[in-house]
Amino acid sequence: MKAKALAASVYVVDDEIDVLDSISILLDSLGLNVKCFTSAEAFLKNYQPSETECLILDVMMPTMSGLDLQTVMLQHGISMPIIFISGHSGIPESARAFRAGAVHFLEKPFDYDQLKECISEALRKSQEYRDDFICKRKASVLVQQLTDREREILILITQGHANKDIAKILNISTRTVEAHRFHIKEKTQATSLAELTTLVIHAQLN
Amino acid sequence: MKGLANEHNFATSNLLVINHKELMLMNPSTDIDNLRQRAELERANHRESLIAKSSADIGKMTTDEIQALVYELQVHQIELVMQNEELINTQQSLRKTENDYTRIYDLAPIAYLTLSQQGLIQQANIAATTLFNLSREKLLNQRLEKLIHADDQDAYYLFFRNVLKEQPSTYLTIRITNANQYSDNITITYLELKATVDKQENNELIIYLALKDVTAHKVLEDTLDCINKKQAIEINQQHSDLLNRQDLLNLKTAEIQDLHQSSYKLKEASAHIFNVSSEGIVMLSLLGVIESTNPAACLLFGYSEAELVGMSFNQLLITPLFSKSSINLLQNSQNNIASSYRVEGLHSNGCIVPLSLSLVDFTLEQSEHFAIVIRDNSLHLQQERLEKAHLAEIAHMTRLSLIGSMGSGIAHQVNQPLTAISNYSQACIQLIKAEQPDLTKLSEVLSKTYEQAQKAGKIIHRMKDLASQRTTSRTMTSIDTLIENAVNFCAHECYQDNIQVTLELNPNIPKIAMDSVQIEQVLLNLIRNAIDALKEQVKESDKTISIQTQLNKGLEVRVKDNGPGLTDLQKEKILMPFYTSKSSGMGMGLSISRSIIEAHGGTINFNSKLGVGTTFYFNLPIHGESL
Repeated sequence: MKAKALAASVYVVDDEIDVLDSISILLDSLGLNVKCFTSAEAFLKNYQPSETECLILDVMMPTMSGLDLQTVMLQHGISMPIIFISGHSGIPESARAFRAGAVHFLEKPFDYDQLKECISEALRKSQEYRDDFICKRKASVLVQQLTDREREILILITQGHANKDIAKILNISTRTVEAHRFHIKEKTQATSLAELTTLVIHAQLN
Repeated sequence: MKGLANEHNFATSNLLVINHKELMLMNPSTDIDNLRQRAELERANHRESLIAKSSADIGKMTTDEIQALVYELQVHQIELVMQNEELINTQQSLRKTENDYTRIYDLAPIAYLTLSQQGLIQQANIAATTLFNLSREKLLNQRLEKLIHADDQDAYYLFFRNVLKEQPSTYLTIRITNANQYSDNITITYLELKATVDKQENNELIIYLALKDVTAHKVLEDTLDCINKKQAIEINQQHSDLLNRQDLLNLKTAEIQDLHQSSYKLKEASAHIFNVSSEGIVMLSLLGVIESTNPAACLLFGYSEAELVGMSFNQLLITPLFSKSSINLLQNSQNNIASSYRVEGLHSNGCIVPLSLSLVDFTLEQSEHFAIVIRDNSLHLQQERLEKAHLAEIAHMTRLSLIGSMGSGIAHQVNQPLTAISNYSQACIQLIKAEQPDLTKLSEVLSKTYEQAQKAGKIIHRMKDLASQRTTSRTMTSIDTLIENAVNFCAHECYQDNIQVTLELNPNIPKIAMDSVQIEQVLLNLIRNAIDALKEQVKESDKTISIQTQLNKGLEVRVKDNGPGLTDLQKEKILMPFYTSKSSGMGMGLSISRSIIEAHGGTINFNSKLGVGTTFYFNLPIHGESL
């Protein structure tokens, strides 16, 4: 785990300097690579993506709150696991945070073991995100090679339609559908319907 | 014989009269011959009667008688010759006189005119020609009225008629106009006329006029008239002025009398008030010696009036009021402005009486005095003390509620250092667990832990102070400390809502005797109101609260926000108890703040403008009463 952790970055955003400093020292003592920011704006300005990463984010901050930052990150396509920390926050806030993909919601002062666990989980998730991202990237590259007609037929295939049905829907001959199907399989190197379905999901063609 | 001589004489005198009249017109050289001839003629005419007479008489006469008659005749003849000579002499002298008069007539400075009965000018002297500026030829046979000014012609006509009736008016003043031959100016000349009338042989009347130029006189007269008139006007004016002044004086006199009466009444009333007043009144000399006193003052101090008069006022007080310097201080202050003091008086039985004094100095008959109104404060003070205790209770209650409402903020403030401490201590454990513990790092983290614990402790302490129910005590406190405390309490809240707090504290403000907890409560209330106002602010502009202190009639503290401002309804009710615009809260904050400030002898107020912001400000007297 340690080797994995070394390659990972933990970002901490909290406006309370004392809290920020203490988290920094604690995570440092755990051998994590910590990057601290005193505001959401500072984070957005200085953020450099790394392979695995997670964010420890204070909810209550004056100009841009933690929840606001989460929204902005989603808008900018920055996806990383977020551990929210807060002195006191109500259920609605945490609900909103979870809906938006938060990993955890810790109340200050946080339990050390819980924090450690959260970070591990977050980093693991980050790795998953990354793998997922690579898959998707691959799928979308493969799908890009297809013609528009082929993509259309691919979607219909993954929706479970037989060649005959597809020919009827598109008002073309079954033979033509079969030809397309062959090309699709060839181009995407897929061997089964299941593989094609995964590809469509990863390429987010729907 | 004698009778005859008389007849002769008569005849001779008759003859002389005629001759005399004729003489005036006759040539003197031919006069004597003519006279002889005429005499002979006369003789011839009267011969018959003479002869008749003589023939009757001569016959009867004797020689002697004839001789006597001849003698008589000879004498008569001589007499006649002598008379003739005399007549010639007379004629000569008359001629001379005539010449003289003619000359005088012409040379006279006064103009003379002779008029016919019809008013035509018959004769004129040189002065007349000069006067009318006409030659004698032009003047003669001219009608005088033609030369007279049109306005005076009627008067002249009447005058002339009177003259003809031989009832001449003594004088007539007329004007004539005469064109100056050298210029077009028509000058007016005033003339005074005097007339006499004579009847000529032919029964024609002849009028002699003397004309005197009185223009200069007239001008002088007019000038005098004018001056007189002016003087008359002036005199009239002065007279009316004097009358007016007299009226004014009368009014003033009446006023003074009224004043006198009312002042008398006032004096009576003051004397009455002085005597029945429930508050003690004493009059002091400049040195603080009692000059007079009223019954209430006697009762207050337990002395008789006789005992009090002559006493120094300082003897009646625990701490002397009248030192040399305090009198000087008073003399520098403006007259008629009473200075108030709270002092402790000494009753004759040794009791200490709390008193409040109003002191005013005044000048009476050019020497300075003081009047002091003395009020027994025992009851008043007791009541005040009760009120204060009451206020302290309410203040404490509202303070607790204030702390309650601030609870989450305070908890958050404490939670931050606790979080830090928790993290630091875990880090320490991790550091110790290492194979070769980094002791420098460890020490560093531990001191950080200590600091955070201190920080948390301070917050708790401050809250405990605010929550404590202390008996009210006023200590000399710096307002700056209180402001900083209050701001610290709200720091987190301000930070969370992105509110800037700026302090402009005047460094010259001295420490003031006040109940620090209560004043801090007021400050907290005002700051929290400002924060609440700014929270309502929808627009994301700069939110600021500025707190200023200044010296302005004592200490003035201003808490200003740039929030939405108050509506008229809010302005009306904001200082009233139980009025609140918030969903939580009792609406007691400002009401109790007001009570606290007023109990400190100050006032609290606010300015607000919709869309601009609200400023709450209170002031506290710097020389507060040490109670």
